[in-house]
Amino acid sequence: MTTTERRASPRVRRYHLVAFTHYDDEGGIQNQGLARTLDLSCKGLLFETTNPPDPRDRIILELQIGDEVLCLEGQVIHVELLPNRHYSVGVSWPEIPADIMARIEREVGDGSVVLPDPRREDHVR
Amino acid sequence: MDRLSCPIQEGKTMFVNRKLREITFKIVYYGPPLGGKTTNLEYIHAHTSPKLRGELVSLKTQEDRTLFFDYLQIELGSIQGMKPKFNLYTVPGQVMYRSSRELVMRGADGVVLVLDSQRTRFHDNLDALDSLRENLRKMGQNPDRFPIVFQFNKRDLPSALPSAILRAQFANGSRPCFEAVAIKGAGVLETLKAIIQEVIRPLQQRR
Repeated sequence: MTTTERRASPRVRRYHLVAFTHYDDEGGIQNQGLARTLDLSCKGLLFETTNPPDPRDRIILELQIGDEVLCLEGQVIHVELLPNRHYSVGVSWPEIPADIMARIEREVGDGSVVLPDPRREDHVR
Repeated sequence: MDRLSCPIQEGKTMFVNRKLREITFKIVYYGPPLGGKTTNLEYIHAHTSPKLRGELVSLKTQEDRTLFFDYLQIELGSIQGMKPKFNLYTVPGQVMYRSSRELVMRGADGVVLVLDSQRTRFHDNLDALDSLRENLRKMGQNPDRFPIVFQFNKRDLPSALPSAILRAQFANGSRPCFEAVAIKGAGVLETLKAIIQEVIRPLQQRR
């Protein structure tokens, strides 16, 4: 099954390396890991990992695109188990600096792509 | 690596979850491409009780052409009443994945440098060592003091350089070094034990 993207902020399928860190209220590291993105938009991203943060956690992301690393702060909005027993983690960011947004917009382009459903077996490896 | 609004994270990543009484360390297997980094993790995964380790994860790009990293978590014993977890990662060895290596290395507590003993790979090994030292400096670490264990892999091959030469060239004669044939498991667990000792040493010295 595929879905034609109709969102205001379209998602595009992109595989990038991303590091995430979740800090507790006292600034200590609660959870930390590496993951790969499954899709990306100007409003957020979906990544795949085996040690997911919890929904509503605020996390710091370091997203590698080419030779650049973009630092983003976002909130986990959903966590789902994938067929390969990894987790997909949806993160949104309310606002980000203009230079980072410009870089993401370049990466996302016009969003005219057809996205596969990430929960399907044939999507994940 | 260009960086947009991203403060450099200095210091180590070892972190403590007091609620769960867990302490987590990050160990990175570094080295030239096709040197045996993934083989080390595969052997550890295959020869560790499933109760003590997680799944071996290899995350790749869409077309499976590029490896982002391998990941394996193991749990061993206890430190000061806390359960230690060790997150083992590999980096992509190819020169072109410099940025990925830098991100995977971020916050490492210790490194296993897996070198290919073959004479023809000598310069690849040198490049890997230079790259490692550069990444450590970017992390704010002193490469001469950072916990590194050297593994001279592929000792069974006829073109392997003598260990003494590798030790003198790469390990300065004073770092822990292990000969290995990772594909057969020789030296793999010994290397792992050594790097674990290196990364937990600061905690033990605090007692």
